[in-house]
Amino acid sequence: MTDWYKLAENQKLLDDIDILEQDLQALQRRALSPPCITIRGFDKLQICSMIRPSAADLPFKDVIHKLFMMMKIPYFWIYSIEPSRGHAYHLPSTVNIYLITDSIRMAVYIALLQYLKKTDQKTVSVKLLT
Amino acid sequence: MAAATIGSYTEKKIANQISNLIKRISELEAYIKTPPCIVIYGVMDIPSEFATHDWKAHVTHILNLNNINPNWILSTVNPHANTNCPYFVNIQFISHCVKETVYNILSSYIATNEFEGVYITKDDM
Repeated sequence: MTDWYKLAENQKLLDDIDILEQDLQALQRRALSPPCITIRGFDKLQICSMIRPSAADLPFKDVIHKLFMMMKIPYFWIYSIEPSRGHAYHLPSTVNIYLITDSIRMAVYIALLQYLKKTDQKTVSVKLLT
Repeated sequence: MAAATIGSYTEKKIANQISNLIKRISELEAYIKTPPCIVIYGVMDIPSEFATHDWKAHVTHILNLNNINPNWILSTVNPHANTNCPYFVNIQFISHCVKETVYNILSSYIATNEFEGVYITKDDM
């Protein structure tokens, strides 16, 4: 009876170790790779409506540049930009923006949420990828 | 008897795995806490108009040549504060991912140009 109890206890410890191992690997990946924000519905994004009614006329990197200017966020906070869906150069439906640090990512995320709310853009959403 | 042997084997295995995990967590913690840094050795052997006058202008010039965003750099440090021609300089960056990118760019720049006696290192995990 005691042996069975001990075996079960050991097995639980091994399972816990597996979970810790996975968490550690995820943390290592996170430490080494740039943090990411995803903008969904990017092709529907309206920027600077007084000047240009739609982002559709601009290359997507210029749209992000303009968007960051509108939010008063330094452009060098961006590590890289990748359109993850839609192969049209001007209109990817989803864009991943990689930032240089985790704390900057939170600042950009909050600024994006506020911007979308302020400009009432319900077809565009932002997501933090963890 | 056999169950006891299996039990003791499992316990040893668990102890090993836990100690391995603790070691790796400490390494990761140290890595995250260390300011991301690369060191360029033989920096003054990289040709530049600034080489013997102003080490900071010299390093900035090398970074500019490689289109490295100056805002990504926290500081450039000459550990031999009294000389204009340091053998090596430390460059600190705002994050580890930025450091990795700059390291790759500079490594390939040094390799392509075959600068003798010039090499770079980084804190690694």
